[in-house]
Amino acid sequence: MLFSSWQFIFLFLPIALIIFFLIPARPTWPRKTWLLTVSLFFYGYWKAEYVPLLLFSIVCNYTVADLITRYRQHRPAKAIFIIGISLNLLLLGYYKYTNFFIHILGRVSNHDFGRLDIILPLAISFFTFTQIGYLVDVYRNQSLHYRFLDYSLFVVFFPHLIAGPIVRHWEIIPQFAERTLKVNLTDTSVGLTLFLIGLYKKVLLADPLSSYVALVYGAAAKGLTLTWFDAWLGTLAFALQIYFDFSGYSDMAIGLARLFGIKFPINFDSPYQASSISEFWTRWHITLTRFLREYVYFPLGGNRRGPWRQALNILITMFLSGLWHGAGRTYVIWGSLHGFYLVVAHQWRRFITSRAWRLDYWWYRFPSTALTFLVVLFAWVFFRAATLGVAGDVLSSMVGQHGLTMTDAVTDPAKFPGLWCAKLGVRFVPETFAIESYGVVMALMLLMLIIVFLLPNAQQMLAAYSPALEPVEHAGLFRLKLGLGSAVFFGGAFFFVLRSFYIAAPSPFLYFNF
Amino acid sequence: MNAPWRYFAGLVAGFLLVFGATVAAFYLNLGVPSDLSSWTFQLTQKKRALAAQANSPKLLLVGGSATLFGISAKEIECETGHRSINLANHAALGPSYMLSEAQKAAKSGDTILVVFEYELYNVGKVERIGADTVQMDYIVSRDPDFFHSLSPMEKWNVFMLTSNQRLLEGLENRGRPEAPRQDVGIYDVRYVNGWGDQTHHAEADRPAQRDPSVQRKSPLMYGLAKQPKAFASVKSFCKWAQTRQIRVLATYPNLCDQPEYHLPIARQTAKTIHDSFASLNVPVIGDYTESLLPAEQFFDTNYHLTEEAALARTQRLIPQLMPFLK
Repeated sequence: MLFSSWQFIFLFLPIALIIFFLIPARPTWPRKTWLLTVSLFFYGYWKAEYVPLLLFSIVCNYTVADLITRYRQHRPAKAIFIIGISLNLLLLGYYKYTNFFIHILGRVSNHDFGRLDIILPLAISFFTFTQIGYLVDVYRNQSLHYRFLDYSLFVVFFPHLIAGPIVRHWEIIPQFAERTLKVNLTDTSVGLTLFLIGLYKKVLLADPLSSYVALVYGAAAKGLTLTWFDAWLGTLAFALQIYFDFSGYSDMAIGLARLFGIKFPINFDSPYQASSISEFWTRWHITLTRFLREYVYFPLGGNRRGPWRQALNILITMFLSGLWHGAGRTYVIWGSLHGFYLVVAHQWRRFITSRAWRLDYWWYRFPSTALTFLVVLFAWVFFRAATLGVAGDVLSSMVGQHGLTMTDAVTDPAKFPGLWCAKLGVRFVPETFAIESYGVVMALMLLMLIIVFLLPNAQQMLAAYSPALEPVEHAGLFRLKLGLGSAVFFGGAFFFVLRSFYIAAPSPFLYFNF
Repeated sequence: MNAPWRYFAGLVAGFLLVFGATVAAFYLNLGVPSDLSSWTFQLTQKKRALAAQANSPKLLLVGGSATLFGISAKEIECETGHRSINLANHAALGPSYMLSEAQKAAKSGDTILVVFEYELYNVGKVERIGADTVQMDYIVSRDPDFFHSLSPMEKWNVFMLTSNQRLLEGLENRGRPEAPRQDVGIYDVRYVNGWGDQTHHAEADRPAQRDPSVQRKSPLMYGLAKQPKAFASVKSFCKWAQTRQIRVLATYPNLCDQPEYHLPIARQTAKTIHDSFASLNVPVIGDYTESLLPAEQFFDTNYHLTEEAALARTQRLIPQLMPFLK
């Protein structure tokens, strides 16, 4: 069930909320049991057959954690911990990577081994990572022992179950206490607003761009040569689509949790405003970065063993990040490319620090932000392309290997601005695919670029209501007051979402694939 | 009222405000012409006029543009001497609307040949899923009476499926005369002859760059429901025809051949259509494979034959049609 579907908005969520509010706050177990039940229903709505797998994973991890706690002072604790982690990785590996490795093996041995008919269970990457983090914490002696109901609810709580944020037990489970798990109208209004902001980002901004992105990358996949203009515009459109889609999803998740009185960590913090790639990764999918840093990069040694080892650790971590996003070579290259960017960025920072340069000026920050955005764009090509060949074709068009080309569907070559483009060396060629209106696509993208680069994000706008677990940094000037004016605006915009349900079935969130 | 409740009330008020404004814009759009449905409207007007002038008994061809481009009423009339009118229009109008036009045109003793594109069998009066923008535009701008005849649910669908862009365009054009259409190629009512057939689609006039839609797959290969939606309208139409001694026939639409159309599922689709018509005592002429034709015989889409191919197809159809025209 998608957060942006009418079934979720008009049936599931109201029923889940109303019954939750009707159940007495004390004792807490009936409310928690209700939340657990609706979360399992939410998961099972997609494919009921995979609910036992999810429950199996929860029971196994809870048991392993229990055994680790019990044998904490003894040798078996380590063995149990290794078995627990291996079980999680085996489960993830089987469902997500079996066919990938069969494919690789086939290519290496020049033999077709076929494909196994394995359906990737929804959210397996997310619930596996959540639980691996828990096991590591238990092993490191950080964690208390939780009740099974609390632990299960922590794993399956529907707002984060499908695509994060990747939450940590110590952030969430204490919130299941009576004090917070109760009706609060302020929470409800803040949660609803965040949910609506996310919904609008997804349905009104990201979704309308998806068909253009599909046209561009679909044409490249068919072997057609993209114009230079389409290659750039299509990749920029994808960068905006994935940001509005995924950050919209995260806003909705944070808002949904808040409706039930639970605060989630921030997952996006205007990442395209980052002035370095390191900063980008502290603002994009923050909870995944945090997970990889704490459970992969630090255990590998982090920056404690010299610059070369640090570079290797970064590369390994980002390689795994790519692999986590998808079992395909394009994702691996995307992750590795970011690893390479990070290594270069660290070296550059070392260089600057060694010379004691101060570069916190706008004239440095502005081009740095542009450069960061540019390299991120190049990497998105690998993320979006179906194959390495397609990525290569798109990139070759972007760098002008087929010339600076566009079609007269973009602009009339005889009039401004087409005339100027022609004077600047742009060549007009027949169109690669039929598109309804470049004007609409470009106007939408301009609006999205203004939102991305100039406006505060949802958390910053709602900073006064502490929307997430962490305090909001750089709250900015524009603060949203949850008064009548903003309510009328958000309520009015909802009508357009409702209309969009009629025009097209809601499209799945991009991160559901991972 | 404290702050959160005021906020919730504001959300509802905002929603109702925009909803109300959109309803008002929609009603102000009714009857305001737009370019999108212009060709379809002109076709309707022309075909109504042709049918009104024709004496009975006559043959009426009813369907989408596969029939407009692909069956020649002129050739049928020349070969059989039976007055024939091609009533076919844009398929977006849907089966229900097409049949209602046939009802207006037919008189006692007439014969009606129904040739629906495969897509049309999955379509009811007004579809929510897969609705066609041309149909919505046509209903809003050209036939408000048809809109008023719809059930409340169907009216709601038309309202919700009319885009904001269309509403703004309509508000802008209100009170203005309809602008002449430009650069429409052969999609102009001037290229429809006195029998209602499309002309100027000869092989020699075929666009240099073939539209990829020639290779588009038809629902023929996906199968149909046991009771295809369109048959609700067909059934009531047949009942009406029976009471007025109007004969109803059916046949399969011309379609660009694909290997998938020879698989069992495609045969099953054709059988479902055949059986559904047969249950209404409507004879189905020919086999569906007879109207599957090679890509080179198509003009611009997977349903539009060239003039030469349409003539050949009509000549093959005439002997099958003859027994019913006596």
